[in-house]
Amino acid sequence: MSSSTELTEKKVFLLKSLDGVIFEVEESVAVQLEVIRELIEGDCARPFISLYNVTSEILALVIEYCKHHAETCSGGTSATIADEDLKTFDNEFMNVDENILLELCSAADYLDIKSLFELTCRTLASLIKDRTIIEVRKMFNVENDFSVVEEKAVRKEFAWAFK
Amino acid sequence: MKKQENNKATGLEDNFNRLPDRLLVSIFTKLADLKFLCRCSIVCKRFASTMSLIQSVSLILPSSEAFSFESTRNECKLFQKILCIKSEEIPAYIRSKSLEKLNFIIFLQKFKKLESIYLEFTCPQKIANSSFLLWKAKCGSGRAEIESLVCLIPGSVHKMTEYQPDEKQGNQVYTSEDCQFHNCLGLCWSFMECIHLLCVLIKCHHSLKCVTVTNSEKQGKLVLKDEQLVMWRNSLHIGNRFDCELPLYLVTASLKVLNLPLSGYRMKRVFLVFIKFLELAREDYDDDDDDYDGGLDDLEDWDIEEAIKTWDFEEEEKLLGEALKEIAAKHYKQFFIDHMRLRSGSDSSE
Repeated sequence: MSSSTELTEKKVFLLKSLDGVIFEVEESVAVQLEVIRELIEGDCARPFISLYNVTSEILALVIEYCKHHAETCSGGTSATIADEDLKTFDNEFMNVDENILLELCSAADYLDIKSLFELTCRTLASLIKDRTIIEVRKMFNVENDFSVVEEKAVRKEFAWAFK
Repeated sequence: MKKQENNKATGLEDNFNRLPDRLLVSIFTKLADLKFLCRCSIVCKRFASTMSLIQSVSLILPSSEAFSFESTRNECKLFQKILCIKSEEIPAYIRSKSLEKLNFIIFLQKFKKLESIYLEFTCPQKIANSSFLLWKAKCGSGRAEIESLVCLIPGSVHKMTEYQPDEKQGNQVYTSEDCQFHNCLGLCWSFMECIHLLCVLIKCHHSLKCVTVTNSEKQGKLVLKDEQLVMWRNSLHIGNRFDCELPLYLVTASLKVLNLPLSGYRMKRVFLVFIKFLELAREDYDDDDDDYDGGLDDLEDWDIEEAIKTWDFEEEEKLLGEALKEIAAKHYKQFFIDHMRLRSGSDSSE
C-alpha cells in the first residue's frame, strides 16, 4: 500500500452514520470504501462525510472489516499468510445473524466495497442453498404468496430440482 | 442515491424487501447451480420473477445410471428432434411427451438475459476414477460440430527428477486396455450427449455469450464464445456431426513410458484414444446402406501429427499438448488406427 501516508501526518476522516454516530477512520481504511476513494481521488473529500444509508451498528462492522483488511494488506507479511489470515477473519466475520448479513450486503453495495459485497452474497447464497424452501421462508420472514394450487403445480414441474 | 426505506426489522417484515432486485440477483447468481435456483424460485413470487434477470448459471447433468450406447443413441435422437422445433414451442413439446427429466429446459427459458452457461457432465464411474485422465475436444470450423476428441489416460505421472517407485511396488490397480478403451468411449458419449443439450440451449438463448462444457472431475473443457457461438447458432440446422451413429476414425496408442522433456514429467502406462468424427452426407446416406463409409477413403493419408499441430492448447492444457505432440512425433509406429461405425447395441469395427 502507499507509504506516503506514513511520511506525512496520518489523514483521518469522520464518517457519520444514519443515526448520527460519528466514526473516526484513517485514510487507509476509508479508501476501502470505493465511494470515499472516488471522493478523495476527485479531491472532493471533506474530512466529514455523512453516510445516509448505513446505521451505526452496521457501519461499525463495516469499519472493523475494512480496518482488518487494510492492516493485513499493508502488514508486510507474505501474500499467502495474509490470504490465510483474511480467510479466517472473513469466515469469523460472517458468523452473524442473517438479518445483519442482509444489511451488510446492502451497505457493502452502497459504500461500494467489492470484496465485502462478494463475501456477503456468497454467504447468503450458501445459507439459502443448505435450506429447504420452508426453512428459507422462515429464516428471512418471507411470505409465501403462492396459492396452494400454484405451489403444487410448480413443485410438480420442478420435481427434477428436488432429486 | 438509492432511496431505501429505513424501517428497522420488526421481526414480521420480509427481510428481503429492503434489498433491491439488483442485489437479490447478485445473491442468486452465487447459487449458480440451476437446481438450487429452481428450488429458490418456489420461495415466493418475487424470487421467481427476479430469477429471470440472472446472467449466468451452471448446470450439473446427472450421469445416466445405466450407461449404454443405446441410451446415448436415444438421447441423441431426442435432442435432434428437439433441435428441429421452434424454441418457443420446446416447452410444449417437453410437456406433451412428459419428458420430465428435461423440465429444466423449460425452467431455463425464464432466464431471458442469460449470458453464460456452465455445463458439467458426469462420466461413467470407471473413467472418473483414473485421476490422471486428460481430454480435449476440437470444434469443426465453419459450423456447429465437434471435429475430434482426444483422451489421454496415464497410469501415473511423475516429475522426472522424483524418485519413482518400481511398478511392482506401486499399489495402483492395473486397468486393461480394453477397459480403458471402453472408458474413453464412455466419456465420448457422455460428452456428445452434453453437446446435444448444449445445441438446444444455444438455440433457445440468444443472449448467450459464453458456454463452458466440462466433466465433473474437470479433466478437460470446451469453451465457446462470442463469434464462435454465433456461428454455432446459425449453423445448427445444417450440423449433422452430432449423430452418435456417425462413422469414426479412431486412433489408439498404448505406451509403457512417455517422457515429456519440456515440462519435466514422465508418464507411465499411457493410453491414448483419438477420435475423429467423420462427415455424414445426408443425401448419400440411407439407413440400409451399410457400406457407406462416411468418407473414410479420404482419410487414408490422414496424418495425426499434422492434425495435432492445428490444436491450440491453453495454459492448463500444456501437459496434454506436450504429451500429444511427443506421441505423434516419436511414437507414431505404436498407433493402432481403425475406423468404425457405431451401431445400436454394440460397437462394431469394420
